[in-house]
Amino acid sequence: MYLNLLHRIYPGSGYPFILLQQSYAHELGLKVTLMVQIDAMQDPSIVADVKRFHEQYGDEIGLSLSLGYDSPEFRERIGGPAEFLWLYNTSEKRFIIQLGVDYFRKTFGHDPRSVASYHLDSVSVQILHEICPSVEIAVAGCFEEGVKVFHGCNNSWYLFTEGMPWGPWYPSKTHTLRPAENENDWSGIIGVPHLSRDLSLSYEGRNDFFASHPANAQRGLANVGYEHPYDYNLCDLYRYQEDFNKGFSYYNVFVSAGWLAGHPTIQDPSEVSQKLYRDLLEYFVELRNQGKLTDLYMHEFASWYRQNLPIGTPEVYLAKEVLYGSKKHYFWYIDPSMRVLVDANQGGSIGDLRPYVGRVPVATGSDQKELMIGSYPYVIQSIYRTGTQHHFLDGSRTTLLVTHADETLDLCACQTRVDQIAREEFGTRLTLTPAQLVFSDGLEISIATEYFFTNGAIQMTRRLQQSSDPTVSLNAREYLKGCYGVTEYPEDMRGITLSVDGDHPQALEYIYGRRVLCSPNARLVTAVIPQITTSVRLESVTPAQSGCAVEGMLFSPYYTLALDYILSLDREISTWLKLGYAK
Amino acid sequence: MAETRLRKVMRCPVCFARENDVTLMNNGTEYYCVHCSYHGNAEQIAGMYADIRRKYRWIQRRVTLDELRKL
Repeated sequence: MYLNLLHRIYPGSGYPFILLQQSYAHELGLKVTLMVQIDAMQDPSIVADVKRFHEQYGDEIGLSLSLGYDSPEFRERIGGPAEFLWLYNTSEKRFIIQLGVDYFRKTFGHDPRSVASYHLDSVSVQILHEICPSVEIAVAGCFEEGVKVFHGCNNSWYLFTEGMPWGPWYPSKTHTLRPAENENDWSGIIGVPHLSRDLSLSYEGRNDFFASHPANAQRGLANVGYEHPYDYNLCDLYRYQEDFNKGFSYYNVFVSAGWLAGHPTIQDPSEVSQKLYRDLLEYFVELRNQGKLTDLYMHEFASWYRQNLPIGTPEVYLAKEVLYGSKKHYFWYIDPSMRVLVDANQGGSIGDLRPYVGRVPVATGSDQKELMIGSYPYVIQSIYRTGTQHHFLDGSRTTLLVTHADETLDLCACQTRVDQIAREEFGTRLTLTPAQLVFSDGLEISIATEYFFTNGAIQMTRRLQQSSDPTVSLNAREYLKGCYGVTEYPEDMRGITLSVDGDHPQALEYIYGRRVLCSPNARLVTAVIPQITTSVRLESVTPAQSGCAVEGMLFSPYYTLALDYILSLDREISTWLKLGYAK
Repeated sequence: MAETRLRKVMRCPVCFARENDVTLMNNGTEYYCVHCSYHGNAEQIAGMYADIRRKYRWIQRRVTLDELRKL
């Protein structure tokens, strides 16, 4: 595992606790990257400390750009209450970044190689790269920070960076959170997330309760005083990913000292917060001593990443939930064309799907169309859009619907687990444990699901593994209910087109008209979503009996794509889910 | 002194159970929430925090890398 430990340097009453953090890291011999704010660079005693840390311990000095711009120049040009960098307009971003780089050069006599911000939008990255090409790496987003954290801070935290990678990535030029397709599409800076988040609980709930920073777990009440095994479990969960990523895993801890001293969302005494932080650092040293962890300065990691993980390298993550003890499995896949979540606990339903292949350009800021919403759009998000059926109809998701004697069972109701993950030359293969279904007439069957992920396409193969009646022939519907959006509320679906081919090819443009298009012997059912320049398509690999596209209505606004098959013991069914760029 | 004051800042346990951080106000007699109708003293709030922690059935369980592989 590669580790980046970052400390933010800022002036004020919390400064003694920054020194405490530093003393822990130095006593333990850990490499630290200091992210220094503009306001800190105006305090001679802090600057002297930072220079001493660099000279005595080798700490890397980087530039923090999230906040802390207070200076005569800033007050004269911009002023006003504090705002995060990515929310200013373009000329203000340019001014602030130039100000930070100028202060850094003047204070430390060289250019920074590492930068930090909770988020750096595409305009900020472009300006930063232009003004300071020495910057190789930046903290550039918070995995799945958005709607849930907004609600969790009593509707007051306006940071929306959902739909991004959970680990280091090559930010594209037009959307920082989208991994670049190639060198030409790359912004020129390597991105790392702000903290390593729990990929089960950050999907289900708040990412700022369940992350690599012990105070986050304290905030979520996930410790009992000095007992905090979850912090170690999460670290090991990231180490576990080495099994699926050719030995690579990455972890970072980026801590503001305020979390160690009386933070209002932490009920533990400060001594507990400080001890938990030190404990985690000691665990890193223990792992390092065993040869299982390498701590690096940010710029060192940037060099390693650039040399060893080329643009376009897919990453996978098997999330096993380890705090509630539910033993749930989630599987994540990411490459420059898409980010996918498979929810094994719901029969292998796709719970989150981000079609990067649509290459939606997004920047945040007061002069941008998206304003503060920096997230990459989804076409499936089952937490925000219901997923499996509850009160009324279902929401966005995929599933297999199996019909026997007028009774239809939904694979979403079956708990499965991840059985195998295979990284192959042309893609990644995921096999789930079989889903067990029992019909009311006593028929018992088990269905195995296999996914194959490759460059904007997901092949879904279903096999009837066992049946109490070996001669049974079942109707099986491969089903996708899709939408698009970036928050929990529905977007305007008008303008979307649905189509089906086959014996009776048909198409419609969305007017929430509840229309159903069905065609025998269909091979393709397609939705084109011009709002996010994306197409979503189901394409049969094995022959389908028919295909359907269903237009939503205002009380259930989403589109449905479906292909119907016959499933029997000697006959597997297979379907591509393909994502494409479309106008 | 500041440390003593800060440690008395508490979050509403009812809102927290909905994953919402709402800092409680104190009227001199008890804590009260401005987002919901909860009110109570520090001891009651601590008891509700303990109840909330019960949902984390593995909160005190160390899951090692080897155990993760088998989980």
